[in-house]
Amino acid sequence: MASLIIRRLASALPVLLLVSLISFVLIWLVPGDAAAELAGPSASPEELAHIRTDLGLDQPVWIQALHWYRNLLHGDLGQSLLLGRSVAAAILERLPVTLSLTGFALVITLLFGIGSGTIAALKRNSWIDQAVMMTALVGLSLPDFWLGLVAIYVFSVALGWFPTGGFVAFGDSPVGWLQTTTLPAIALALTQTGLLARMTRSSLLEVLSQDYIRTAWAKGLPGRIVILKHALLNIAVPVLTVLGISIGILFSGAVVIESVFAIPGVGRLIIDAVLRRDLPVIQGGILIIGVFMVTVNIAVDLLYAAFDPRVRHEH
Amino acid sequence: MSTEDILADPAVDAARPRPTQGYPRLRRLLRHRLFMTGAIILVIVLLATLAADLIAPYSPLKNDFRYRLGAPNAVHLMGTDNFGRDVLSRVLYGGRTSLAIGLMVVLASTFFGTLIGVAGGYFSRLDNPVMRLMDALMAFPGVLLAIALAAVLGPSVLDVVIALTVTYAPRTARIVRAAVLVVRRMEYIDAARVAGAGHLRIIWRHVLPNSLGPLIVQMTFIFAVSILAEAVLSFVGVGPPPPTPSWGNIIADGRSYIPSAPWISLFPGLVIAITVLGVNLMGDGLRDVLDPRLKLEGR
Repeated sequence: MASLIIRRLASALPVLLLVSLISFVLIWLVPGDAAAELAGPSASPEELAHIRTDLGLDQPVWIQALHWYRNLLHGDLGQSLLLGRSVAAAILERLPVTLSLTGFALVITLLFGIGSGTIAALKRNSWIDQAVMMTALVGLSLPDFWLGLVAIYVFSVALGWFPTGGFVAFGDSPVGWLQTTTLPAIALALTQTGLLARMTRSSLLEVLSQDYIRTAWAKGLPGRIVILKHALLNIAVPVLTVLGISIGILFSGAVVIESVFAIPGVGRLIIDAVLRRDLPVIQGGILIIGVFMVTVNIAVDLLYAAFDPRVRHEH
Repeated sequence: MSTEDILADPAVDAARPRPTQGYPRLRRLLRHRLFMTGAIILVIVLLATLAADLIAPYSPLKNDFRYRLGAPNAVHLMGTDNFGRDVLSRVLYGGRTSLAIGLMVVLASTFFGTLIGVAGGYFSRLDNPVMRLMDALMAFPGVLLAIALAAVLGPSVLDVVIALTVTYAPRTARIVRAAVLVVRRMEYIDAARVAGAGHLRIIWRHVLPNSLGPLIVQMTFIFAVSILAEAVLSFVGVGPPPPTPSWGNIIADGRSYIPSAPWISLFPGLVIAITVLGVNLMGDGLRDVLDPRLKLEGR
């Protein structure tokens, strides 16, 4: 297991290097003179020069890259053009908000995705199965931020059950946290719940047709043991694959959902930066999320090995 | 029992392999209820947007301040927005922008994705560097990378298409590469090479046609996510610029009026949902017929 962990970490290194390179390269994609473009048409020559030095655009490219990587190694993502503070500090301060929202959405996804997928597989071709699969497909087809807007209208404006936006930290008031995160978490989780339900169903159907499941039934094991121990544990690998992808989508979905519900998380920070073209914050934001995703993928790969001895002994 | 007797048995006769007639996959597709439902939905949406000039009751751009934020009624079926513009007309014309973006992203990402996937899968020396770069691009959650790219490139239809293509082409590349890796090991590829076929001919005549199934399923998937992604990009302000309507920017325009005039955002979102559902139904049908083993993947 230890060698597997080391090998997996080593193989992630080139990807991490490229991920940081892509974030760095973003500044070259700004059409024309990046400093002029970011400063806007009304900027004075002094402001222009200021931005140019701030971003290091007056240096040759290789010096810029060197700076970028040297600063990264020190945990320095540069200075925001507009917030007057370091990008890393701004992101770190808002990360707990986003993590608590995506964590909540992930719990909903897991519970309802695996639950409804399992029921659909066990009641194959019944009306329950068809209803679950149709709901899953509809869920996959909805724009999640739009669902958030509809939820705000129905549950906050018309019924008045929830606030229309804002955020209360769990530490300050668990009830307040629940009130402010329930709607966004559900809107966020819906598409991924659909995806996970479909995956759970199809993997479970495959497993249930295996000989050892028939043996388990034949030797008189109770249904819950057959389903929980023999069947569900064996769909861990495909489900984990979907889950790894889902976490990424939940995270990027949170970016948009946070601005729908006025939640002050990393997503809001990035979207505000997008609107005001605060490039260092955009670069830092997507770099952090890219690195987070690479980490999630490593964790998923290692979990494969933990769940499935065949993966462990493959090499 | 002689061989003739066995063959004469109707049960055995029914199971005997026969040369396929016509297009069995096409026939299966046409009998696939969900696929046909999706296809009909998509055709209706396509026709409605293409015929916007004929069926839209008003100009999508004409302001009429007497009817600002009007609720849906017999004259304005989907109500009016904050400029008094008819939402139904805007949705009809907006479909052109949204569907055109979806189509362009499908074409561009299929072209570049196939090129990269074949390069990686067929020429093993290119495989590692090319696919590591694709891994890195896929490390970013799709919509987020598109938002960052569109924010940097600037808001225009072309920039949105470029941003989404960079985001989704790597996913196509990975699928094509996987298919090519399987096909490349087949004996008929060796046979073609022995017969003197060059790389390009082998790729074009043998590798690509045999990788087509997963590729087509992937194309429906990209069409669906591009329509959704256009809406997201518009919502965060980096989509196709107003006043030209797109489904996404109509939703975005209506956002501030959710409490008083929810219909502005409601209807374009519903139309997106119906269209994407249609495309997803077609994708599921194609998956059933072309590639039953293919699992849900990507995004």
